Amino acid sequence: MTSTFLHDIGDAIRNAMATVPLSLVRWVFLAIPLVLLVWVLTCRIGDDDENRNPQQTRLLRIGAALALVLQIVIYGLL
Amino acid sequence: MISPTPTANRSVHHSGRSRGFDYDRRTRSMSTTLTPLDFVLLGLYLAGTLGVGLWIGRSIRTGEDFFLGGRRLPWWAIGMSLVATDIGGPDIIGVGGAAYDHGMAVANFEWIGCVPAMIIGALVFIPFFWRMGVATIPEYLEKRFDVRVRTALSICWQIFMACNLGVMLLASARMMSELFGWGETTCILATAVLVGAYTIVGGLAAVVYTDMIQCTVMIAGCLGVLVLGLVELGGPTAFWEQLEPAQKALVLPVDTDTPFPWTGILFGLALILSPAYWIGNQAIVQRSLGAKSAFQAQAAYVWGALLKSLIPVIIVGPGLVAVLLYPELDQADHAFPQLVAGLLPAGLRGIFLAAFLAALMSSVDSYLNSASTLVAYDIYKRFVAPEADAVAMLHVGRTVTAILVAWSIACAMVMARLDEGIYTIFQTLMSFFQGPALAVLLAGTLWKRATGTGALVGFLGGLVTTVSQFLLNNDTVCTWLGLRPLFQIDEPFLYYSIWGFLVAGGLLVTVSLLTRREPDEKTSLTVLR
Repeated sequence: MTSTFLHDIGDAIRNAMATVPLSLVRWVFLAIPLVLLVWVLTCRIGDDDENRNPQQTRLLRIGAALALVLQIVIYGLL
Repeated sequence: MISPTPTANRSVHHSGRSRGFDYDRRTRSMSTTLTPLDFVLLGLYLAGTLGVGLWIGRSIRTGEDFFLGGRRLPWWAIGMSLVATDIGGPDIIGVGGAAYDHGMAVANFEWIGCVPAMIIGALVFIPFFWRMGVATIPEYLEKRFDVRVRTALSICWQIFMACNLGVMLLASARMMSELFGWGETTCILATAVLVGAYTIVGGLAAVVYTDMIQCTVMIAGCLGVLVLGLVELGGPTAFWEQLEPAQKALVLPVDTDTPFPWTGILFGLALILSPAYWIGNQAIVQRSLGAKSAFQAQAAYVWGALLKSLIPVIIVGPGLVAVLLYPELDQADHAFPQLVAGLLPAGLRGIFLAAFLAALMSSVDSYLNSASTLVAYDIYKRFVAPEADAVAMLHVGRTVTAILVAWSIACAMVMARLDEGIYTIFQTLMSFFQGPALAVLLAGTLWKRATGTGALVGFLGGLVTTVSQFLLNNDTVCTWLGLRPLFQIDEPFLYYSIWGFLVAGGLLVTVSLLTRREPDEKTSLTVLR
C-alpha cells in the first residue's frame, strides 16, 4: 500500500492536531457558546423590521441566551 | 450529523450525520412482548395523526397554502417540527447504540452540532430569507447569483431527497418489521400510505402540526425509558457515579478509536455540517419560511435550540443506562430495544413504539413535502410553466408528492434487494454536497463580490473533491490502486465536509475575483448588510 501527497498532507495535519492539548480543546468547545452569548446579548436584532415590537426582540434575546447558557453549563461540567 | 459507529451498516442522519445502526435481530425480544393494550395505544396514535393531517388539509386552497402553510404557521409548532424532523426513527436506536459503544461524545451532535448554528440562523439568516419571500433556498440563489447556481443546488437536493426517501422508508420498514413481525413490503406500504395520505392532502401545515404531536410523543416515550432506567439504577446520582470517566467525556482526542475525534466534531460538524443543515437544508428552512412573521420564524429556531438541549438527555441517556444495566449486549444497537423490552410495562411499551413511529414519520413527511417544493418551484414553475397560478401550483404539489410516494416505495423495494454498498452510497450523498453548498450560501449572503460563475465553479469543484475523497477512501478502489485509504477513521464524513467546504470556498473566491462583479442592483437586496 503506497501513499500519495494527499496522504502526506493528511498525516501532517493529523500529527499537528494531535499535539494540541485536550484541555485547550475543551476551552475552545466552551468558548464557542460563550462568544456567541456575548454576541447575542450585544447584537442588534430586528432593527430593519418596522413592525418589530421591542418586547419580541427582548424575548428572542432571552431565549437565545438561555439556549447558549445551557451549552456553557454542559461543556463546562462535562 | 455523523456519528458513525464501526457497525457494518449505518444510517445517515438528515443533516448528513450518520449514526451507527444495523438491521439485525435486535428487536426480536420486543415483538414478543407487545400486548393488545400496546397495539390499541399505537392505533390511537396513528389514527389521531392521520386525522389531524387530513383535517388540516380541508383548508388548503393554493400552492402557498400547500408548500408554506399559507405563511401562517406559529413559532411553537415550527420549533417542535424542526426537532421532530431532525430526529428520525433509526436515529433513536442508532444514537442510543452509539452512546452504549462510545459514551457521551455522541451528544455533541445535538449540542455543539446544533445549538450554535440554530442561534446564528435565528438571528441572522432565517429572517433574511423570510423577508426575501422565497419558497426555496435555490430560489434565493437565483436572485443572488443566476439560474445555473439555483439549478445545480436544487438538482443535488432533489437527487438526495429522492434517494433518501427510499432509504428512510426502508430503514423504517425494517425496524417495523422487527417490531411487529410483519413482512418488510407490508411495512413499506403501510408507512408510505399513512404518511403520504396526510402529506398529499395537508402539505406543509399538516407536516408541521403532525410533527408537533410526534415531537411530544417522542420526547414522552424516550423520557419514560430514561426515567425507569434511572429508577432501576438507584437514581441519577448513582447512575452518574457508576459510569467510567471515558463514558462521560464529550471531547475525545484525535487518535480516539471512536468516530468522534474533536477535530471532526469541531471543524466538520460544528463549523460546517451543522450550519449547512440549519441554514441551507430545504427540509429544515422551509418550515420557517412558512412562519407568520420574521419574528415567528426566528422564535421557532430559538425554541428548537432550547428543545435540542434536552434531546441528548432522552436519547443518549438511555444508551448509557443500558451500559450499566445490560453490559453484555452483543450489539450496541440492541441497547434501546432491550431497555424497552426489559423495563417498560404493557401500555408504556405501546407509547414508546408510538414515539418511534412518530420519529420516523416526522422525517419522511418533511422530506416528501420539501422534495415536492423543490420540484414544483425550481423545475416546474421556473422552466415549465412560469405563469402557473396558485391553484395550479397546488395541483402540481399534490401530484408531485404522490409521485414521490410511489417513487420512494419503489426505491425502498429495490434497495432492499441491493447489496449493502449501494445502499450506503445513497446514504452518504448528502455529506458530499453539504460543505460546498454552505460555501456558496455563505458567500452569497455575506460577500458582495461573489459572482455566479464563481459560485458554480466552487460548488462543482467542492463536489468533485468530496466524491474523490470518498472514492480514495473506499476499500475496493484503494486495493485496485494499491493505495492506503485516505483517512484513518472508519467513516470520515465529517472530514469530507471540511475539505469540500475549503475547496469550494477557495475556488469560489478565486473565480469570483477573476470574473466581472454582479451588478449592484442585484446584490443590494440579496446580500446581508
